[in-house]
Amino acid sequence: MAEEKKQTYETRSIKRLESSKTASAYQKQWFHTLRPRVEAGEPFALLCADAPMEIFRAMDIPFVVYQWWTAICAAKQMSGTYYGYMKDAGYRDDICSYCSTIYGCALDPHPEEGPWGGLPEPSIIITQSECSVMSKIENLMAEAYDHAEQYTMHRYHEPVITENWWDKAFEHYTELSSPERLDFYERELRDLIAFLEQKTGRMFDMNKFREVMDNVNEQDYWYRKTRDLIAENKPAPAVISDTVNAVMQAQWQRGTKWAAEHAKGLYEEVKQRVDENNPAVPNERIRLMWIGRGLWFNLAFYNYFEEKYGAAFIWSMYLGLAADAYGRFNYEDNPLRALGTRFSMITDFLHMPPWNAEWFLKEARHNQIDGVVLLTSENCMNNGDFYYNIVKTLEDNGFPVCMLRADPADAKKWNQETMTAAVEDLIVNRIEPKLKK
Amino acid sequence: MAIRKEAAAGKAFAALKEAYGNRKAVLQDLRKKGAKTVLVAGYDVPDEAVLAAGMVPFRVTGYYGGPRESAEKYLEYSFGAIWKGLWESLAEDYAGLADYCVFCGSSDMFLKLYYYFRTLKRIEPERKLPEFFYIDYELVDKKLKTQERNEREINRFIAQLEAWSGNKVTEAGLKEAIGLCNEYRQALRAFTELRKKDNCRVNGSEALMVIGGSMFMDRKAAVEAVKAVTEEAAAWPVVEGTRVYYAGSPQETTEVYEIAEASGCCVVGEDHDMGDRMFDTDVRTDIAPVSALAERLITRMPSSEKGSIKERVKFAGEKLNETQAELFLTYMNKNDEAYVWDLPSIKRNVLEPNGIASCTIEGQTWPLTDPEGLKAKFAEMAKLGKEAK
Ligand code: SF4
Repeated sequence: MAEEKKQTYETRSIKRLESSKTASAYQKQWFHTLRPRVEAGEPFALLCADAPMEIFRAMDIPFVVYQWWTAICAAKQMSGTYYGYMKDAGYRDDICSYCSTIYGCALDPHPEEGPWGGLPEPSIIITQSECSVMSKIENLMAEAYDHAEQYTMHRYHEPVITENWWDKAFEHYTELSSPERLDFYERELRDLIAFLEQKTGRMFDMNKFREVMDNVNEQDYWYRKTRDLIAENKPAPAVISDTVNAVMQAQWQRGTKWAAEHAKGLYEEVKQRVDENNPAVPNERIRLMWIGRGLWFNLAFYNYFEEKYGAAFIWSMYLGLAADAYGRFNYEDNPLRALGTRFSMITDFLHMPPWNAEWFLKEARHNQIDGVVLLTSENCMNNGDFYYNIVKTLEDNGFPVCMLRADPADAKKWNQETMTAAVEDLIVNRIEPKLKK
Repeated sequence: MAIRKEAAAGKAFAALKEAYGNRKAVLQDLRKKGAKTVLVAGYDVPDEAVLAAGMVPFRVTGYYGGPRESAEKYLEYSFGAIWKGLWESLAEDYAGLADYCVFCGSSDMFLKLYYYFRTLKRIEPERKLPEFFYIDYELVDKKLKTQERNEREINRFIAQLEAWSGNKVTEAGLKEAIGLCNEYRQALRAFTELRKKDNCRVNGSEALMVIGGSMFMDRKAAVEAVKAVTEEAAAWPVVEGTRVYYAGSPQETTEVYEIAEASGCCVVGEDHDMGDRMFDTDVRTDIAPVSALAERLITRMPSSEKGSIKERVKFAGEKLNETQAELFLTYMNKNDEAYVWDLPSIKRNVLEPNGIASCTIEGQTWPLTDPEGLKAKFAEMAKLGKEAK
């Protein structure tokens, strides 16, 4: 089995926000209640990140998003252990780390030793044919968890190309999809509901679902306000080593009252820092944007540049997307249709041209960014968001970009010196000369 | 071994080799003649619909004429050799040679490239790019809703073809085109009978050239050429060598097969669409044409990228039995490695119980970075296959 490489650099980030700690604590606590529930015979689902988790929430089916679980394993420096199990079983341990960690967990003979008491055995695995490799890993996962039933949801592409999708996402979301696409996703959701009803014996309650949708709207309202506070205040009241954790963990509980309240708490805490003139990085001179998956095993990386250069990573997709992409209003007639546009379009907004580049530019402007670090996932074959267009769009508009190629899940492949040098090069040679002008 | 002199001497083979080696010339000629050509980027586009619209389907393959500078500039490193080649062809080499291009989701990369090209057209409007269309199939789940979706998509494509061509696509026209394409597929299947063990007259390189060459010909001429080359091939010398079944990245040129076959192997079947997979099943003629076209999409051999592991295991057993292969090769270009997840299950369930050797070659690029190393691997593989037997 692969040995976890000893770190020679600090990987634990500075935690400045209570909300970040409370999110972790809640999540840990939630996890401890999960195993007894599952052992008592409750259903438990593994979902891929783009799955419509609101349906599961409304049916009170506990779930884990397996890419997020990867983040937890990486943060706990446990990924290497799981890749080792895969290698022992004849699989490669050097590709698709972000999506395959969960398969390593499925092969773990001592699952209870995993993070937070380990992942219980799922009874449902929801997959989406978004990436062919992912589908194969999901096949293996379903085989390894032999009591789990795999259900596949499908995708239909071709969103309508429109300027400023973020202006339409809340109220005019139907304009972002063709009628065929709207129908398609509504049907996918109805089919999923039928499957879950049959599998669990629970009936889907449309009123409960509306409540979930309302909670999501409330949660995202607070995220918008938090994002705006960070964007509009210089120096910023919070940086991403705090916000990624606070937001991702609460997004996992999306649709609950707790998550909405946690988002409000996050806002209030950040607002207080603004009111008390208590910025995250008091010597902030440079504001950086991080595009790509979070560096879960080394969140301290984001802090490294603060003291030395006054460079603060203030933007990540986790808060940005929560602020701009999730909210859906005016759905009274058909909340399923509204949800369909949410879960189907996140991938487009984030990964597909031209939506992604236009949004990054809008966010760079709004957040008064000086430079951008773009992490591309080293061993993801599906990795490709038309970076050429993203880089060109940002650089043509005055935002220098530095691209890092790394594995966001596997600590043993991270080269701290090279990556630090690349960001330093961005700061020293591209941003600072510009600031001096 | 590669292309043998007896094969090269044949008239039909020479014509197919010419089309295979000079794809761009074929496209230029179509342009000159004023044909309405539809560039086909995907392995599941129904050529029958294109033909029924009075247009010419032309499969886009990669550019192999030199460095792929445009692809290097615009694409991420995660695009493997096939996809970089395709970009270079469409963005540069074929620029201005066709007005229309259709993509479909036979691979995730086709979808990505469709989005990229659509964006490229927006950000660089001066480029001579064709008009793009995407057929959004579901290709894995065998359900009624899949069939219905695929029928809808084919009808949507037909409507687009009608708009492009100005011709009505009629049921009779579709039936006629299905008949022609079935005849083409049957001719190719008859030809590949000559890769079978008891009378193996055609090696993998020759097969690729015939299959690929016919792809770039006028469909009626292709049928005749394949039938004629089948007659020629019956007299070619019997092929020796370790019988290898090839799974993995499509091979758009014969280079890799030629190296393998010069090293003691003989590729007797493959699961990609420049080879066997292209013609493994016909389109039914006893049901409505659009339904039949849609049905074929999910009854084809499972693709190495999209097929579920269960299907791939089943298919591997069947193909190894059918081709009597002595070795199962998984060949992967760099960043084109979905197949790696199938292999342990195929090994456990098919290869080991039947004593069939397997070999995995990973991380390949174009141009090949280490042809000598590859040659050595193939030589080792040839030995391994024989020993396992
Ligand atoms: S290719 Fe990328 S998205 Fe697909 S399974 Fe691998 S890591 Fe995940």
